[in-house]
Parts: sequence; C-alpha cells; structure tokens
Amino acid sequence: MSSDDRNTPSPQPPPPRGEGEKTSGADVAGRSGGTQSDAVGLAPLSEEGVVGGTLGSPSRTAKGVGGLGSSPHLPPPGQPVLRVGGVNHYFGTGDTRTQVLFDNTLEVMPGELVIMSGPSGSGKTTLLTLIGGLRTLQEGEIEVWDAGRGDYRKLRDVSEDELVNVRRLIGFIFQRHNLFDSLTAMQNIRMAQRLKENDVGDYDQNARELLTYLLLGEKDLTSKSQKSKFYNKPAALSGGQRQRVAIARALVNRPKLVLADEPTAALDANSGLAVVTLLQELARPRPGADLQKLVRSAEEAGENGRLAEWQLPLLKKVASEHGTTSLIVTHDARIMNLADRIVHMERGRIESNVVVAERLFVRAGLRQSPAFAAILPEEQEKIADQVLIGVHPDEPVRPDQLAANPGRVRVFEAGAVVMREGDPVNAESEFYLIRRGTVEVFRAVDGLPEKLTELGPGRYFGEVALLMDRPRNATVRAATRVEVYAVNRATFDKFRSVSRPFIDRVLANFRPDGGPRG
Amino acid sequence: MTPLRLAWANLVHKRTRTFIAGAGVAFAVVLVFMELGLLGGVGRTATMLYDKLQFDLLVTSSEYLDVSRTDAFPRARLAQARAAEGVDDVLPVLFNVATWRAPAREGLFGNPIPAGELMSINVIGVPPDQIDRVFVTGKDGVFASTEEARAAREKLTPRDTFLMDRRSKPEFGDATKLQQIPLDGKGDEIVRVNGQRARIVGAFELGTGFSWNAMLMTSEETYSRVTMRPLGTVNFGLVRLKPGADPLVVRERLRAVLPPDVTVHTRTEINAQERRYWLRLTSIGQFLLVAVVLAVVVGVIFVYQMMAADIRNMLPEYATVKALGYRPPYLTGVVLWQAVLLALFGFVPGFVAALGLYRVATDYGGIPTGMTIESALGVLVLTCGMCLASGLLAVRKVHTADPADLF
Repeated sequence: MSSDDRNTPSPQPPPPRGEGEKTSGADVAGRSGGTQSDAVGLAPLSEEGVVGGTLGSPSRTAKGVGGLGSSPHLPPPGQPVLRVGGVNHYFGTGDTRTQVLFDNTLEVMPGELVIMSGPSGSGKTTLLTLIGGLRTLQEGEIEVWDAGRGDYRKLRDVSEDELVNVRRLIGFIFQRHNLFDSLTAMQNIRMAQRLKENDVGDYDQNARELLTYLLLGEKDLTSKSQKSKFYNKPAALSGGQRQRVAIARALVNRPKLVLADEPTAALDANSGLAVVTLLQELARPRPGADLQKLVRSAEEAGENGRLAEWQLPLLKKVASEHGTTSLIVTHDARIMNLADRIVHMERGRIESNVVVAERLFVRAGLRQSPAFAAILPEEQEKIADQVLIGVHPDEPVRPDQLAANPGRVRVFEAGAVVMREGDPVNAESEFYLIRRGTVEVFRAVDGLPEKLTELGPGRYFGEVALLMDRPRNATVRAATRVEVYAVNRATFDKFRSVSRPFIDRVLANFRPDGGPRG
Repeated sequence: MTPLRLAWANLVHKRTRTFIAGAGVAFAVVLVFMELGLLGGVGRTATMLYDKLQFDLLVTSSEYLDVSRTDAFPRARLAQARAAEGVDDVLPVLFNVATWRAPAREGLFGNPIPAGELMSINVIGVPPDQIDRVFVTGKDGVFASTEEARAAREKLTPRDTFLMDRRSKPEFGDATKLQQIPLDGKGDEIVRVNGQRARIVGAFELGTGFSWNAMLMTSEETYSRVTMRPLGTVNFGLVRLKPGADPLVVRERLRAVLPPDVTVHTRTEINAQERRYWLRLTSIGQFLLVAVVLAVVVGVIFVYQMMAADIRNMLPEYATVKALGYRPPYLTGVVLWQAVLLALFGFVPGFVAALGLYRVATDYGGIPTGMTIESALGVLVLTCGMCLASGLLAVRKVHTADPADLF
C-alpha cells in the first residue's frame, strides 16, 4: 500500500477517538471536498440486502443453517458433512481407459441443499455414485460424516463391506423409482427401515406419517378422505406416487446425506412442493410463518404448488431432526431456486462451486460500490465468482480453505492494519469487501489519527485509491478478527474499464475541477 | 423384510411365472421319481422272487448269473447240503421259461386281439406238499394264509395243473377267468404251456418286473413234463437252518462240503448280487441311473433359466437393495430362498403326479414301482439341491447388479 498523503505519514495505527460510526461513505467523502475516504463505500445503504450499513446474509439468516448448532448428529462446527478431494476417475482398462473425472474437490456443509448441474456426460452422476459408495474410488479422497460414529468414513481403499456402511448413511432417490414390484408401499419402505439398527419407535407409524405427508395417506390436499396407498403395490400406483414412495424410502431413516437424481421430475406441483419443503425442513427448521405461506389457494399457488394446513404439523413431525444435506441432480427450477450451493460440472471437472448466499453477499456488496454498480449484472457476477471461496459468509474461513483459494480472502487478526493511510497503490493493491468482523477507519487530522467509522460485514473499502490511482487516504485496522474478500488491481481495472463512462462521472465528484480524468 | 419374506413375495407376486417355474420343477420331479421308480422296480425285480421264498441260505449253480439265468444243478446237492451240520432242511425249486398261449383279449383301444399269440412265461416248480414252506405266506406273501397255501398244495397235486400269478400282465389273461377253462379247452378258449395241455386251478401273488411278465406255479412233476427238464436237476436249493445256527458258518461249511458246481449264498449276498447285476451290469439299470442324473440336470437347467430370467428382470430392484445398504449375503439369501420355495412348489404336485404314474406303471406296466418315505424324502432333498444349485448359478447374476447404474 502507498500513502495517500506522502507528507503526512501515519506509521502507527491511530488510536480511536471514540467517535461513533459514520453512517455513510458519502457523508465522509464530502461531495465538495474530494476527500472521500478510501475506506468507506460510496453507495447508499438502501441497496438490496444492505441494512444498517451491513449486508444481511439472506439465505443463512432466513434459513438458519448456523442454527443447527453442534448437534451430536452433525460434524463439529465449521466442518463439512462431505469432503471430496482431488477425485479422478477412469472408465475402462488398458487402451480403452478413459478419464472421466479430473481433480474434483468439493466440501458440503451440513444442511445444505446442493444442486449438481452440468451437461450430460459432465461427470456429475459419476461423482454422485462415488460419493454414495456405489463405485470404488480410484484416486483422491472422499469422506462422509457418520453421525453414529461421530467421525468421517473414508471411501478410499476400503472394502466392499465398508462401502456398504457408507451407503447406509445415505438416502438415495433415483429418477426411476426402482421399487420392488412384489412389495407394497409400506413394505418397500420397511426394506430401508430394516437397516436402521438399534432404532426404537414405531416403524409403521413412521412410514405412514411420511407417506401421509407426501399425500399418499387417507387425506388429500383438500382434507377430503381418500383411500390410502399404504398397501398398494407399485403396479397400482401412478408414476408420481411411486416416486413419492421411493422418496419416503430414501428419507425414512432420516439420513444426514441424500443423493437424488431428478427427485421431483415425475411429480405434480403440489407433490413436488411437499417433497422440496420436506428436504428443506430436514435440512434446517423453517419459521412457521414461512411454511404457512405455502398453504394457499390453487389460484395463488399456480404452478408452484401448495401445501395443506394439515401437512404442516406432520412436516414438523416427520422432519423433527435437521441437518440433512441433499445433493441433487435436477433441472427442476422449483429446487434450483432453493439451492444453497450450486456445483456446476463440465467435462469431468467442477467448473464452479458457488454458495448462493456467498454470491448474493458479494454481489450485493459490490453493487454498493459505484465502481461496480454500473456494470452489467453478468459482469458483477464474474467479479463475484473470482473472489468466492465456496464458504457461506456466516462461516469462518478455515486455513485450508484459504490455501485452496489463494488471494481471494484475506484474514486479519484484531489490531492488524489492513491498509495504511499514505500507502501508494500499485499492481498488488486491492479492493476489499468485508466478509466477517469489523474494521475501524482512521484518518490523520493534524497529525493525530481520527476514527472516522467502523465497518462491518458487507461493507467495502479501498476503491478510491484504485480509482484515483493515488495513495490510500485512510488507515483501516481490524477491530476484531476480520475476513475480507480481496479484488486485485487487475480485476478492478478490467471491470473499471467496462464501466468507464460511469466511473468518469464518479471521478468528477472527487476532483476539484469536476472534470473527468483521462 | 427377511430374505425368506422377500423371496415369498416375489414368487407370489409373479404367479404365472412362478406357476411355470413350479411346473418345470414338478416335471423334473416327476422325471426323477419315474426314473427312480423304474430303478427301484429293477431292484425289486432283482429280489422279488427271493423276497417271497423262505430260506436262510440259497444254493444255486455255480454258473448262476441272475434270476432269469439260473442254470440247473444236480438234485443230489440238496441231499448233500441237508446232511451238513446246522442245516434243518433243503427244499428244491425249479425255475424256467415256457411259452404261453395268450387268450383272446382287447387291445389298448378296444380292438379285439384273437387268442393264440405265443408269449414267454416263467414257470416255477415246487414240491406241492412243501409249498407253504417254500413260499412266504401271509400279508405280502405269495399266499395270503397258510390255509391258502395248503389249498394250493391240493390243487397242484393232479398233473398238468398250474397256479397263475394274479399280478401277471393283463395280456396273459385273467387268472380267475382262466380257471373256468377245462383241461381240454372250451371252444376257442384253451390253455397251453409249451404247447401242452394245462389247466389253471388257482392263483397266487408274486408280481412282475423286468425279468418276467407272468408266472405259473406247478408241481415238480408237471414242471418236468412241461419243460422237458429232468427231475434230477433243480435250480435253487432253499436251505433252512436249525434254530441258532449261524448262516455264515453254515455257508462256509456247505461251500466246503459241496462240489464246485454249486455255490451257497446268504439272503443278503444273493440280493446284493442280483441288484448289482441289474443295476450295474445290465443296460437298463445304467440307463435309468443316467436318466436320473439327466432329469436332475434338466431340472437344474430349467430352474436356472427361470430364475436367471427372473433376476434379469429384477436387476434394478436388486441394485436398489444394494444401494440401500444390504450386503451380498442378503441377496444370496433371497435367491436361495426363492429356489427352495420353488423346489417345494414343484415337489408337491410332482410327488402327487408320481404317485399316480407309479400306480399306472405298476398296474398296467407290471413294473413294481413303489413310493417309499426314503425315496420321497430323497427326491425332496434332491429337488431342493437341484433348485439350490440353480439358485447358486443364478445368484452370480444378482451380484452383477450394479447400484451405480441406478443413477
């Protein structure tokens, strides 16, 4: 960093003077003086997702994954339920040996709804089968959390017997239901229940409640009585009903990991909504008010489907345990819109692994900055994707995640200086968006540091020096442990050029002459 | 859901398929039962005569091959044997083949077959006054009672009189009706043995088999006259021992004192020799043994085909079971239970059908087939083994069910 004002160096972080937080970068910038603090965002805080100077973490606050806490069924806080590391896979042998997966790495946190996307043949199914222990892992590592053992089960170099143990941890939903034709719906579910060892409870009741919730019981959506399908064999069920039985079979043991292939493809809107809501509720508890909104008239529901009032208490009952993670291959927009993480594969590689909440968080943060606000959403997305690390902004970044995504997030311990007033800008200079923690902004006034403001998650700093190509005009110090997304100079300049006309107008505000700089 | 319940559900669900598979198993069971029945018939044929004769030791010609080729030996050997220590008595039995003039009868489809067809019939000659000591009497005996045996003695005393086996094949004529025909015949009805006049005066129970289709019993004199065999030779010597005499010791004693033109057998020895001859040395025994093996092989292949097709159809379900977390032994259990249930489904009708066919074979074929607990249990075990073998072959297919293919 270079100094914004080479004549007034400020070698030590100035102690705070005790002023309160300035509420807006614009206030600090002082439209007349061109003394906009480099540390403070320019945009008004009325942008989407920005409340009171910080960005909310929309999905997490609403969905409350963090609220899962440290359940004995879940991995330790911050640890994933599934780890995939450096996975390669080959089909065939000898001359016909063909590599179909290339160095795939992925972590999935408890309670996430993960959508696997990608064209046919991109390797998502192969990866799913490896995760499920349905194939032998050839290269790389896969670890699945075993709640019963309180430890991870590794899938590399293990016996078939161990793979079977892994399969028992997972609920599989296949596009083709693959129910036993000779067994009734209840018996098909019992096939899965039988494997849950040392369980207590009424198996039949459990299965009945699940089937009833999925509209195969004695009540239909309008609360009218209907003949239950409990004892129907698959031949006497429609395609959608079979699929719901298969879903019930996959979920009846309340697995902590669900692998699903187009689980809602054969379902009508109402059944599809019931399934999706169940998967969400198994992931994490939702406020009753949210669920209540799904109880609506057919006209209101349209193609989105609706739930019956009687389904809500049943949903809470059948989904009394939470933290279920679902990896779903689907093209169903109803599910895609609810995804916590979208993993996109191309030609055997994970091309992107996006935590939706993180992307929203970063995009909303970027939009606050005039440097990025004007560019097209797609361009904003590109910048966001260059700093994303695949970790929910509510979750602290682990050192291994930092190492795996070098340069994207920087971590400063409390008291550390993020940038210093007067530091020159150069090729290594960066623009920052606060991910977690709080920073204090100081500027030297009469040789003494004056605290201008405190900035929290979702706020940005460091763009003025990059825009003006002049030294930093303030010192930013970590008030707590701080994690910041870092947009490097090259990226900044690249997108700056895209939004040049707007930036020129912005710059005009900072120059005494008011004219654009060349 | 235990493997047995799932196997049962699979079979019950696909009733038509199960019925066909069960029918296939039943067919194999019937085949096995029939081959075993015929094989048993051969065994029974082998010892049928000896089972109905009373003896502790049996003297035969040293040229004796089997009951249908006994060869004769001098009657004097009987007296020599009788003199040996431990021997109570020795009774002669003459045994040979003659021609029989068949009476008029109806063919299988009711077509009349005129009298006069010549057939081969066996004739057994015994001293009439010893008849109740020669043959077993009572239940399952040649005569139902000693009284009946004694009555037979009276009947056989006149020359040219014969008793006829009631269980002779039907084409030889009905023993009761034949008794109505006088010595010189009645019109077209006439009885001739080796072309000589004869009269049926009564009946006895022996049975037929692979060695003979009908049997006549007569006195030694009539036997000699009809067969033109000298009375100085006999075919069997029935040795009865004194109480407490050890058959093996006496056998050795007799072998020592009798010339080498005869040999002495215990009952066990002669029965074993006969069975060995019929089952191992004759082509019919070998054929039936091979047929049993073939029936089992056919059954294995049939059941395997049915089960393999069934498993092929259910591979996705089996793959799902694997994906759910069931271990391979569970699937093996399902397939093997299915095999055992199929075996039972097939065995019951096969067993019932075999009982009926045994009756037909015995009544109309003259083959002494019979269902025994041992053979029923044996075939049940064999059927289960056959289906389990099929199951074990088919179970490899189950293990090819790849849960990875489900996605």
